Amino acid sequence: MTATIDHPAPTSSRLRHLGSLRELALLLMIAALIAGMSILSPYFLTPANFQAIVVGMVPTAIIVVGMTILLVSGSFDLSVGSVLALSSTVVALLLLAKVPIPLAILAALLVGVGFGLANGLIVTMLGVNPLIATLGTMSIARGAALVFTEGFSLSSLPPAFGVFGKTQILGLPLMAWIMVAIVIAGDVALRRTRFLRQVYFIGGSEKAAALSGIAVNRVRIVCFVVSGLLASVAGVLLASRLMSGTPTAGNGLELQALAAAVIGGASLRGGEGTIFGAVLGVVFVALISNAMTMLAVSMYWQMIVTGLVLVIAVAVDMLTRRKS
Amino acid sequence: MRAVVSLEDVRKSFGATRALDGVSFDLAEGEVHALVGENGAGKSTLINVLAGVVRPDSGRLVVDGVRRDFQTTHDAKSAGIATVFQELSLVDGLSIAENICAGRPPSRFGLIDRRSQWARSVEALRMLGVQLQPEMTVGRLLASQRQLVEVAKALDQISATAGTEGRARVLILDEPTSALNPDEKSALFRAVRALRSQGVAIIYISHHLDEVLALADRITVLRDGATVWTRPAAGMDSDTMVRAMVGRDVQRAVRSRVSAGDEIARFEDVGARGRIEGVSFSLRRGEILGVAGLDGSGRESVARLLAGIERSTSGRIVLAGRDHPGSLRAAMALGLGYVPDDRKTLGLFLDMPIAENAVAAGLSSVSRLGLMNADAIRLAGAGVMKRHGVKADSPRRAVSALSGGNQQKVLFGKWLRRDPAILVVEEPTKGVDIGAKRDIHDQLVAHARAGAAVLVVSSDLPELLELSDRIAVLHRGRIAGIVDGPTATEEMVMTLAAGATPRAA
Ligand SMILES: Nc1ncnc2c1ncn2[C@@H]1O[C@H](COP(=O)(O)OP(=O)(O)OP(=O)(O)O)[C@@H](O)[C@H]1O
Ligand SMILES: [Mg+2]
Repeated sequence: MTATIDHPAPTSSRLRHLGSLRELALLLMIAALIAGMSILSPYFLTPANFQAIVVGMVPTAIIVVGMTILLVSGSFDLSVGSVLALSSTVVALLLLAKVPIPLAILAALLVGVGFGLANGLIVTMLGVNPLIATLGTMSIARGAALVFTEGFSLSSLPPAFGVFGKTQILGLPLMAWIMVAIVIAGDVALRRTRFLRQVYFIGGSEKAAALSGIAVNRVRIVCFVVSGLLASVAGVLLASRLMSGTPTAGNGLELQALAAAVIGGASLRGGEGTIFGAVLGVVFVALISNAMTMLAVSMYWQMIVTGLVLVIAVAVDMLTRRKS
Repeated sequence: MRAVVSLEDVRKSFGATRALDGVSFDLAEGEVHALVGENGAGKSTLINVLAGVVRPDSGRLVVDGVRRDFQTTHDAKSAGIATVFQELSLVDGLSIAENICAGRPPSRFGLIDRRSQWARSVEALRMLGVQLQPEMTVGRLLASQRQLVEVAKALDQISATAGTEGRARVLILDEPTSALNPDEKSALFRAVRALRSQGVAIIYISHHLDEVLALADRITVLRDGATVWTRPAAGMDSDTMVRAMVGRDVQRAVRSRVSAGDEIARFEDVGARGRIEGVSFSLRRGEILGVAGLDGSGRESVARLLAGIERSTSGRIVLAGRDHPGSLRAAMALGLGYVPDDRKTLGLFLDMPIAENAVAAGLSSVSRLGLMNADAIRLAGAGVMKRHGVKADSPRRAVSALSGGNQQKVLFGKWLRRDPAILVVEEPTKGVDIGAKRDIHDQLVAHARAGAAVLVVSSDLPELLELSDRIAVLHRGRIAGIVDGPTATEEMVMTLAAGATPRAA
């Protein structure tokens, strides 16, 4: 059942892995979606639309990396959307106060690390359920962002801060390449590093992991810190693209990331999931919403459809699991 | 004799594994029918077919003369079959009473009737001679108590349905005694015999052939998913059964006496609040020290204190020449290994492959520069399978798909791979067949003779007597005596465990 851990094996037995199957199925659906849309809309397969899709995906794709690691460990982080908003306002506030750009960015990232550390400590040391713990910090971070900005967006940031959104490399902005780098690094790290391999064991059975000599609490805290850090990275990149710090940004992003990771094969019970799969989930959801925009489906319907996709993905997941 | 249940030529495969390969079996009204066979012979799968957990690929299942095809466990229950599964299924957060009545909670005006729930639980527990408060949370029970509650749950199904249409007439017990002490066992046997006299048909699975001979009317031996024979228990003996189970003779190991080496761990007047008090002993290289005691005597605490997963409140524990570091992780760094008593919740990662389980306690042995080596993991898995004779088609197979005994072998493999200088083991052969038990015993002895110190806690007294060089017997948290293993008798140990002074041997 845990098909998520990579082993070199003959192709036939490899294909039997549920996780690889899931990734393959997603790739096929993505291909079908692209093919279908290029027939339906002449604007779909254009460089401009491609850019729009990729740039729009950046925050979710970065956040999903941390979310997947947490899901594999058997927990999750609902505070990521708010931490993103808070970091984007912190970086903007500091820049407006004439703090040098690198320092402002560093401070924003520390905010993410701080929230991650707080989540991790609350969950492990106080034994609070991740749902409650991160729901609490989610509210705190959002509240803090609104307090700092009195509810307004902070714009007129120094032009040099726009580097992540404006610098184009091979047809994509720098922020997209940062996303690619984070995703690849995350995927390799979760698949291959000893430290993150422990996450699968913790998700498989926390008790058995502790009795195998795995430092369960330490690993879980690090996972939360990674998640918080990545949320603040996404916040800084978003602020750079929009050239403003927005206290209401990233609303609902935590659910989008969760949904994408589950669509990509992660399980809410822990022990399963890959970052590659989760990012495919992000791509899939991004394509669907882009397709609907192209076809002039209203925003409200888009929400309904996204919800349906998630429920169907989870239902299919449950059914295939029951069979095996 | 009328057959209540019969199976004809039933087959069931899981992937490439033929778990049942043409089994025929019938159960008569009012008999105790024992089912024996090696680990992986297909006993639990057969039970799962009868309990509606697994649907056979082919073959006939007849209950009361009617051909049945159970889709769910509920179908089997309504057909009058009560089952106690090998892997326990209680809900930790609920009370004993709630667990016992979970299948058919008594209700009044749509609300749970707590009073009758309580009364029913007391009654079911009384049949087993268990003194437990029904309102206690199951999560706080000892392994043996859980097992009894599990049986009580089935007994409740039988009494709650008595006289109704779906009256339970079949009770299936899959290794019900694997965690029980002798007193609990005899209470269970009494309950089983009482049910038999009321006409209930009982299927009894056990690796303890003496229990089987004491209890059964008929015996069926399974090997590789097929029936070898069904014979009356009268006049049967264990050797005949073993030969049928394994298809050859099994030699009894002869063990040489050795002199133990240097001390590697020591308890000095150790206490742990409410569990043990003033416990002192020393553990030497090359020896197997058994720890015996009744339930609640604190025998598990001795193992867990040494392993570093429980904390002492007084005294001193010395490990490898220094103060015990107080955590399993740190103790592992000093060469300690710990095999817990519950492989399902504590020892193994059920949904993960054999290979991952094999390396779980030693990830650094299969990684370089912080990166995992997939080939090394697979090799380690294959190595554990080979060394311990784990029956499975590949190291990629999830551990949950293995039979209980094979799971236990994986658990041992996980720790012996590390070659621990001090091995702490709880219940080493719970639910393990005769052949595998011998294998595990041989491995433990070989490990000790190779210079490691082994501490074994077991509720299986014959096992301790066979394995141990010395046996520390606990009574109410204190050491009542330390006896010489090779010359000790069951009676000596029991007397000490009960708190009496033994007669001079
Ligand atoms: N769900 C499953 N998936 C794959 N294989 C399975 C599954 N259930 C059982 N098997 C295989 O079927 C065979 C029979 O297993 P079963 O659990 O019936 O044995 P058993 O006689 O009860 O053994 P034990 O004494 O160890 O409990 C084993 O080889 C086991 O690995
Ligand atoms: Mg079994």
